[in-house]
Amino acid sequence: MKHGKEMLHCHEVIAQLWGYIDGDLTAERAEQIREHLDMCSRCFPLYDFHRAFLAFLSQVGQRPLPPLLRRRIFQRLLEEEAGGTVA
Amino acid sequence: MQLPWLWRKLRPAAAQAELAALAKPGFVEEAVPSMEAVYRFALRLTRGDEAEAEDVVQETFIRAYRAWERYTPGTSCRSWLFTICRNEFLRMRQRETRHTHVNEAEIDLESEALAAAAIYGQAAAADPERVFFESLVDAEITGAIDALPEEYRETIVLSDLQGLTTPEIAAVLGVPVGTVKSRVYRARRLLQQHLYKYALEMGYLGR
Repeated sequence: MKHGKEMLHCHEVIAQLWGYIDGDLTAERAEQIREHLDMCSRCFPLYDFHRAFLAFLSQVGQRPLPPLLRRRIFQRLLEEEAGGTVA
Repeated sequence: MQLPWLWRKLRPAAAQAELAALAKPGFVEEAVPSMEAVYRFALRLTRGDEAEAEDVVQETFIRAYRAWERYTPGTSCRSWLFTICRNEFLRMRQRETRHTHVNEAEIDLESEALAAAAIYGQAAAADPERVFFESLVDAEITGAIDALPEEYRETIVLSDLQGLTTPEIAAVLGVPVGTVKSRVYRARRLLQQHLYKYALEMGYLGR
């Protein structure tokens, strides 16, 4: 606003929020959105929520590989090497 | 006493020793470390069916070893393995690789974004202090992911759980990059919607 450049409306920011979080936008557009988020009490909580949700998802379903499965696969690989049919 | 961190440090060396007989160069170093990631991917493809997932993972690694010459060193081995894994899953279920659960043309990115904002608005109004999904346990989240239609499930798993790039996901699924993005956006929105409704029903919100 002080610099006289065009400020984004909330509607535009919301529409591009995933793109912003994923790093898909141009540097210029990302900067515009960042500036909007810095001073918008409506958009920032939404951005924060989406960001937290994705961070949360990245930690979901972290099942360890069952040791018996690992052993079984190793065994099969060794059998394959020893004389299974190689395509 | 178990020392998990020590085991994790030693494990690559252990794999190298156990699999020393494997002649094809680079397989142990590049493919084997992704076994856990492939298992986690398979679990979501099978919607939590552990026995089926284990079979898929096993077949994936056998096929990968057989086809190792076709892997291009320096490219993402994990993505290459995910492609094989998915094909194995489809083959074992004897499904067509093309099946329509969704009308892709319907998905408008901007509408998806606005719909996601609306869900957040509802959730925030019900529970302004807490971020609602943090009250859910892992099984509830994976359950919600497993309830997604297959196209959305596999896409969001690759994107937001496995952290693949959009071009990598496009290569694994054999779809255009634009399709990946629209599926990811919609999948995220569907998941948020499902989890919000679930949290509401379970009384996790607004306490």
